[in-house]
Amino acid sequence: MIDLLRKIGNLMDLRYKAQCMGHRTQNVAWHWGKRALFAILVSCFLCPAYFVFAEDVSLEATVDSNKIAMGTAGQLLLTVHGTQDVDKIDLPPIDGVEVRYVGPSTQVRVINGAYSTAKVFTYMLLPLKEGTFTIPPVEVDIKGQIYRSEPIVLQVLSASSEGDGQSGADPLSDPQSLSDKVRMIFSVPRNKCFVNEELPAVIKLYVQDVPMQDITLPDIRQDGFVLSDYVQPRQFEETVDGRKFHVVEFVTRITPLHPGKLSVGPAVITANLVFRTNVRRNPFGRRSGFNDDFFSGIFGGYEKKPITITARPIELEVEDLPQEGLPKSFSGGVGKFTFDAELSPLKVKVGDPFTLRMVVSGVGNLRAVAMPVVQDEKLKVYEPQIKEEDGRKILELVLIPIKEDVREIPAVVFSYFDVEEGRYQTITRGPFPVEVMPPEKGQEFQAIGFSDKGASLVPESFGKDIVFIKDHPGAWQRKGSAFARYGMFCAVLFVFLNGWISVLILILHRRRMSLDTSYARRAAAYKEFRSGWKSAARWMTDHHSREFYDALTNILRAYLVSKLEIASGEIGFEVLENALMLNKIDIKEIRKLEDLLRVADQVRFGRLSMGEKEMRQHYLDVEEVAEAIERRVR
Amino acid sequence: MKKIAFQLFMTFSLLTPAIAMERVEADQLFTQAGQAYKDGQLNEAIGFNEKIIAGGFESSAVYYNLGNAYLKKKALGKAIANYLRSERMSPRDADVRANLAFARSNVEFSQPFSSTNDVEKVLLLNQASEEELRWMALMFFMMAGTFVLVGLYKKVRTKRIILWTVLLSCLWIYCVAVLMMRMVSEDGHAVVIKGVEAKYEPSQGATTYFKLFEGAEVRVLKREDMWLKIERSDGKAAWVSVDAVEQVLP
Repeated sequence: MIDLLRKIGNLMDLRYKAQCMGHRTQNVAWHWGKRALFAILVSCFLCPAYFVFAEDVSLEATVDSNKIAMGTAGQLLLTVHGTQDVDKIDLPPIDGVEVRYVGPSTQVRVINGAYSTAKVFTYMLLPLKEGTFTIPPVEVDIKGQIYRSEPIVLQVLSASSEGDGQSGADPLSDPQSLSDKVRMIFSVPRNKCFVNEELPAVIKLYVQDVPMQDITLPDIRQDGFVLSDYVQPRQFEETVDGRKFHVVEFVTRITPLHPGKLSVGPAVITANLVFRTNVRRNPFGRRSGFNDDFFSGIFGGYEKKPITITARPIELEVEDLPQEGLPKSFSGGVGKFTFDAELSPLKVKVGDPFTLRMVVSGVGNLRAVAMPVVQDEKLKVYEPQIKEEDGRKILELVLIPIKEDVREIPAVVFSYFDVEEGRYQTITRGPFPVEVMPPEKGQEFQAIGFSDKGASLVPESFGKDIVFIKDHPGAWQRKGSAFARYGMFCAVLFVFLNGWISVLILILHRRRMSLDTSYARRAAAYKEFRSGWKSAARWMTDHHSREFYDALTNILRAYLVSKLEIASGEIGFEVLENALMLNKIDIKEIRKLEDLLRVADQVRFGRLSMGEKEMRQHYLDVEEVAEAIERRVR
Repeated sequence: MKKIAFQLFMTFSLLTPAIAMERVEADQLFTQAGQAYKDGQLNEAIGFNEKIIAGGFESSAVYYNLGNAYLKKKALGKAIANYLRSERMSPRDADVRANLAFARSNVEFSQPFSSTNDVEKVLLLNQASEEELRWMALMFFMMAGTFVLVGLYKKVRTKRIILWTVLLSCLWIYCVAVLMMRMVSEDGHAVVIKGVEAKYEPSQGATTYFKLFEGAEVRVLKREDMWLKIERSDGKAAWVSVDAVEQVLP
C-alpha cells in the first residue's frame, strides 16, 4: 500500500512539473489545491480498505428457522466476517436434509464510521424425513487459519404443520410462530442480595424478521422493590441457537426494600406489529380483477396490531443487613464504595473559610447514602452543597473558624455495608491539621462610615432562642366557614361581573342603535309614546275631547308606525290588524284598539262629544294596548 | 333587583353583630393567652389560643404564639405545625421564619419539604400569602376585563389596549397557577408530633422501615383506618399511626 501511494505521488509530481514548464508560475495555487484534493480522495478510499483488512475474521452459521415442515425449504447462511477472500464453502452431508448451494453475496456496512465487510454463502435446506437433525460445525481454511461455526439443531415437522414458521401477512394469526420469533428475557446478575442493595436488571427483547413499532418501556411489577429510571435502550444483533435475532436491551436497577423471598416481575412490553395487507377484501366473496398482485401491490397498505410480550418473573432471596458490627456512622449505604475527603486551604485567618470536600463513589444505592457531618463548637458550619454526577456523590462544606485555637478539623467517618465482603466497612479521613491565625491589625473588618475602630472580624457569638410572642392578634380570619372566609372576595367578584356584563350590554346596545336604524326606531318608539301620552292628559282634564282624541290618535299612529315598521302612508286598520296579528298580539287588545280608533274618528270628524269618564277609559286603554305590544314586539 | 338588595342587606346586618361580638371575645382570649405565657403558665396560654381557634377565628399571631408555647413545652412537632400555619398566613413575617428555623434546627434528621418553587419566585409571589394571591388574581382579572370593555367602547383595537389586555390576562393566569400549585403543595403537609417507627404495612406487627423523629415533616398520601401512609422529602413512603402526625391544614 505504501508503494502504491508512492507511485501516485510520483505521478502527481511529474504532471505538476510538466504543467509548470508550460504555464510558468501561473496556476501554482490551483495545482497545489488539486493535489491536496487528490490526496484526500485517495485517503478516503484507501483508509476504509486498510481497516477492512485489519478486521477480525470469523465464521457464523445461521438458519431462518429451526423448524421446517416437510415439502418446504429452509435457508442456511454461512457468513464469513472480516474478509471477502473466501471461496465456496462445501458443507458436510446432513442426515435427513438435502443441502443445495444457492450462491454467494457480499455485505459492506458502515455503522457510526465503523467499516465492516462480510461474504455470505446461501444454501437451501430440503428436508427428506421428519425428525430432529443437527447441522454439524462447518470448517473453513482462510489464509492457513481454520475457522469453525457452531452446530445448529434443526427440527423437521410433518407436512400438515406447513404453516408453522411461515408467518404470512398477519403474524398474529399464528401465535406459535410469533412466540418463536418474538421473545423476552428478564434477568438479574444473581438471585441473592441484601436489603437496599441495588441490582442491575436487564430485559432483552429478541425479535426475528417481525417488523415492530411503538415499543414501550418494560412495565415491571415491583411489590417490595424500588425501580430506577431506565437508561437509554441499546440495540444490537445476537445469534441464539443458530438464529440471528435483533435485540433491544433495556437496563434498569432494582432495590429490594425488605428481607424475604421476593418476586420481581413479570416484565411486560406492549408494541405494534406491522404487516402488509397486500390482499384486499372482496365484499362479493369472489376474486375480482383488482385482487391480482399488481393492484394489491398498489392499493395494499400496512396494518398495525398490538401485541403484549411478557418475560417471566424472577425470584430473589433478600437478606436483611446484619446487626452485628453495625457502626454508628452507618447511614444506609449498601454496595461497594470508596470515600475520600480533602480540605483546602490548610492555613487561614479567623473568619476565613475552609472548604471540606467529600466524595463517595462506587456501585450501590448512592442516592440513599447520607454524607458524614462535621460538628465543632469552634467552627461555624454552613449548609453543605451536595451534588451527584457520574456515579459520585460530592459534598462541599464551608467551615469558618471563629476562634484562633482551632488546631484541626475533626475526622469524617463514612460507613457502608459491603455486599461483596458481607460486612460493614468504615472509612475514616482526617483529622486535618490546620493553622488558624488571628487577623492582622488594621485589616479587621470595618463598616465604612463608622469610627468604631474596635470592631473586628472576629464573629460575634449570639445566643439562640425563639423570638417573643406577639401582642396584637393582627387581622382575624374566620375559620371553617367558606362564606365568612371567601364572602368579601365573592361579593367583589359578583359585583364586578354584574357591572361588567351590564356595561357590555350597554356598549352593544349603543353600537346597534348607531348601526341598525330600524332597531333604533323601535327602541325610541315607546319612549316617545309615553311622553305624548302624558301630555294628552292635559286635554282630558280641560274637557277638550276633540283635541284629546287628536293627540291620542297621533301618538298611537306614530308609535305603531315605528314599532311595527309600517309605512306611514299605508296605515289603515286592516294593515294595522294584519301587523298586530303577525306579532301575536291578543285579539282583545286588537278589538280594543279598533273601538278606540272608531270612537276617535267619530269625535274628530262627527263632532261627537265625550264625557271625562269615557275619555279616561280610552286614555287607559291606549296605554294598555301599547304595553301589550311592547311585551310582544322587541 | 330591590328584593335581592334587601336580602343582601338583611344577611349582612344579621351577621355583622354576631361576628363583631365573637371578635371581641377572641381579642380578650388572645390578651389572656399572652398574659399566661408571660407568667409562665404555658398550658393556660395554649388553652386560650386553642379556644380562639375552636371558636372559629384564626390569625398568624395566634398560631405563632401557640408555636412559641408548644416549643417552650418541648413539644417540637406541634410547635413546627403551628409555625407552618402562621407562615402560611404571613409568609413575610421574619419572626415566624426565625422561630420556625430554630425549631427545625432541633429536629433530628430534619429534611423539610420545600414550601416554594421556582415558578413562584419569578415575581416574588413566594412572599405573598394565599389570600393576597387570591386578591391579586382578582385584581388582574378585573383590570383585564376593564381593558376589554374600553377596547369595545372605543371601537378601536389599538395595539396598546391589546397589549395591556394580554399582559394583565397573563398575570391573572400566572397568579391562579401559583395559587393552584401552592394549594397542591400544601395538601397533606404534616408534622410528626411524637417519635414513631414507620412501617411497611399498616399494622403494629409490620417491619419497621425507618424511624421518624418528633418535628420531622412529611406528606400524608392516604389514610386507612387508624393508619396514614406518609412520604418523606426523600421519597421514602411508609405507614404510621394517625395520632403520630398532625396535618398543617386539617
